Amino acid sequence: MRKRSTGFLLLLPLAAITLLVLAACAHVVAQGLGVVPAFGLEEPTIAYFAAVLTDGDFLASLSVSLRIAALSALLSAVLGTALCAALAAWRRRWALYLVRLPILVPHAVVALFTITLFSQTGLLARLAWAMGLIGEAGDFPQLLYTPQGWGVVLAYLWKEIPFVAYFTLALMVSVSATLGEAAENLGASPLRSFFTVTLPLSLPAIAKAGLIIFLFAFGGYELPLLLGATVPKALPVAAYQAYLDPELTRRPYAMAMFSVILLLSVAMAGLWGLAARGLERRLEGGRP
Amino acid sequence: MELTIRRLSVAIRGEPILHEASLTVADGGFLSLLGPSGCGKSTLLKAVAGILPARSGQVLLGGRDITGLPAHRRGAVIVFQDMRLFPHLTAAENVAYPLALRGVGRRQRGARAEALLERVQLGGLGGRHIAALSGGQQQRVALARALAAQPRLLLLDEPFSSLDEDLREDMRRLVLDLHREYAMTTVLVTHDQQEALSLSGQVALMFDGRIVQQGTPETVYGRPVSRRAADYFGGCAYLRGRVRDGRFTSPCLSCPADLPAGDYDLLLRPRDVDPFRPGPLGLRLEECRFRGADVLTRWAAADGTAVELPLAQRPPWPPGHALSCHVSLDQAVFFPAGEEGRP
Amino acid sequence: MRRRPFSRLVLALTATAILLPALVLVVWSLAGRWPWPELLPERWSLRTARELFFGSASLPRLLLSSTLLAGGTALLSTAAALLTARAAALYPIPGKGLVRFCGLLPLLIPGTVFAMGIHLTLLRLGLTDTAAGVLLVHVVAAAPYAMAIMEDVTAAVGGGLEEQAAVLGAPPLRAFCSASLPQLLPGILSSMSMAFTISYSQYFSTLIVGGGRVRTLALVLVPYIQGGDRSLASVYAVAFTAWALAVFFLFECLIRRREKGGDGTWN
Repeated sequence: MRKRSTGFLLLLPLAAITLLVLAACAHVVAQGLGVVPAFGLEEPTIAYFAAVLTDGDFLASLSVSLRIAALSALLSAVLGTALCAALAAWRRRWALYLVRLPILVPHAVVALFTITLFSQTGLLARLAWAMGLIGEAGDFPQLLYTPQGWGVVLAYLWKEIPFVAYFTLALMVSVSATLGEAAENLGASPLRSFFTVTLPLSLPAIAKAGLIIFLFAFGGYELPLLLGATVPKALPVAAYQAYLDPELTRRPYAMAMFSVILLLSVAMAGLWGLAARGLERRLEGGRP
Repeated sequence: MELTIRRLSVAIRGEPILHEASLTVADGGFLSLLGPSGCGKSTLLKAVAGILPARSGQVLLGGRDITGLPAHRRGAVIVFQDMRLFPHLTAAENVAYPLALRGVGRRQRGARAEALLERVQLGGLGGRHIAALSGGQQQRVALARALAAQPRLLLLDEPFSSLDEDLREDMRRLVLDLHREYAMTTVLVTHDQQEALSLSGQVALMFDGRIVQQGTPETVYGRPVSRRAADYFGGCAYLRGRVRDGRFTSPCLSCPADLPAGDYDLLLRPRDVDPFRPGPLGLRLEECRFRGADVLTRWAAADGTAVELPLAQRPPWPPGHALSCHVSLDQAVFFPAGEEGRP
Repeated sequence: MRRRPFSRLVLALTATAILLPALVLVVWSLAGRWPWPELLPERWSLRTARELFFGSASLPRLLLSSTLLAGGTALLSTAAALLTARAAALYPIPGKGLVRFCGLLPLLIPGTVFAMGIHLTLLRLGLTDTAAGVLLVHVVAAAPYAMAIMEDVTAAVGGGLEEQAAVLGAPPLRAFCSASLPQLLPGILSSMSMAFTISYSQYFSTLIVGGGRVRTLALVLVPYIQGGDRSLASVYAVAFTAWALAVFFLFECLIRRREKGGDGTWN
């Protein structure tokens, strides 16, 4: 006999974790609103948010971070889906282990990969020189440390394309083994069956993976620190630098920046939730 | 040990499933709990075993109220339909499991498990993993494991329904033998009418979470409490008529009936009608269908009522042939007219 | 049988893209001198290996602290996830949707914001700059992944075997350990493996909550990369990654041994 009270007891760790997360967010937002009792600041004000949101450097950081997050999520989703389709079609156990490897490799190591391959003295530049394509290191296109953030995006792609494939694989295998086969049996070519049946039905998993990557890249620290531009910095890097400012009265500005990261992430997840609900309704055959 | 269930009500996720169910099984008795699927039979078993909590009512085992006891202290062992053998253990280890719980030593455990497996005709298969056994063998292991727990009450939840027909008959035989040998109070849940009537000394009939009738198989079949109870066993036909002054009269026949005046339906079962003996019931043969073991004949009574009779051989008459046949009415069952719409 | 040229091409490209950088890193870590524009090092050297074992940031101690931290995270987050999953799957509690949402909540909060906020929270509790504080942050970061895995596994195993054990006379804890736990074990190991990886890779949260007192491999590696000594950064990165892979394959072996056979979908 399973009692409700025992069930609630089992939920205590989850409750503790949830409280901790909420308390952490509340602390950041409170200090962003200027409430830092330790510094004698008690009155909430939106002045710091206003100052941050009208600051040109901040807006430049915001656009860098949004660009990195959007490009990483979109390209990972598209290329990851292609990889997933290949895995689903040609099932090899070694390939399954292979795509799990990048998920295990820490971000800092991926940053080093990117540097050794894509920097102007990296392996690709050396290959280009060996093939006579460039005359000196400076001729190789500058991919790292630029405001366009391609180095950061490349590093995220290395890690997240396999993640999308692995995340979507179970669903895609089951769809293509049942409905996909049915479509081919009705005369659809494998390509057509993939685009008309398997892909649309796998979309919820792909979109969910895309959201996770967007949120991760938007709030991530190591990769933009190691591979991004110094000016403008990605938002989390800029916020942490503001936090480290020896001038303690600058603290609420840093927290306002972290708060913006938080609020935009939550808004993004909320929007995604609405879109996902609409998508699911369409897939389940409800009227649009 | 005697089992008594008093006005037991059970709800699952706020949804009432059992409504004040009451029944009794004598010490060493064998009761079949019969009813259509979804009527709450399994819920009743789980509530008796202590897996589901009772909302109200009592469960008494050997005169002791066990309603509040946790499952592991009740001694009411269920053999589930899906068998629930532990997949990480061998057959012998499964059987030895309840022995270990009771603190039986390792060596003795092995010997007892082997003996029990022997008893269910699985001697020598103790070392097999569960996945390496057939469905029928798994069912036997589940039975041996339940016996090893030395249950005060054995609860069988549709244990044969996942087996092929020939295996099922073997298992019924085995269960009957084991029941006789161990004289264990046993409740069998089933939706198979023949199984319930042929196996047990008592049958309880359940509809919609309520026990509607309990008695010997003969009583439950022969004196059904309602039209629905009668219909559940199949093959029923009803003659509509009126009772006045202690006599039932219908367009087809008339007989004495000790009932208050009113409209009634007379229950006709195939065993009550004999077309080879002359009598008062006028029937016209409509069609014959060969079914292998017998021939199903369809007849129409004078008022158009359809009557189906299985006969050992194809009757000598052509379709359309009319005759007047014998009806045995010593145990006639009447239901007030209009009950067919009621639950 | 189709030849599937597209799939083979994609997988070949993927394999190259995944394995080539690792190979380059190994070469870099053994390079004594590798000037532009050579395709291979001019001179090989074991300087970095000496630095790795006997330098200021000695590998064995870093591995030990990283592994203890990640192991603790794996245990705690999986235990929390198991309890949560059992409450949601087997107990008659209201608000199961909310439970699921709370379980995934840490995924929606950017890691940097969460680390910053929890640092402010732990300041009040006096847990900053301690291993316990870092452990706590890592557990929260790993929890959603552990919850997702344990939720699936617990729902798949269900409560049937435990019910059977109970009616055979097993008290609740024994029923869980003897009937359900063996079936849950592969899932528990997957969850632990995942949580281990998450904790092992944490950088920002360790930096900010540990305040530099709690030293892990991830923490040491970043300054080496920023420092520009590519050989030294590479040797730490190789050691870091190799250990992560070793632990992962250890877990995989344990899982494969528990599961036996396979589902036949993969060959």
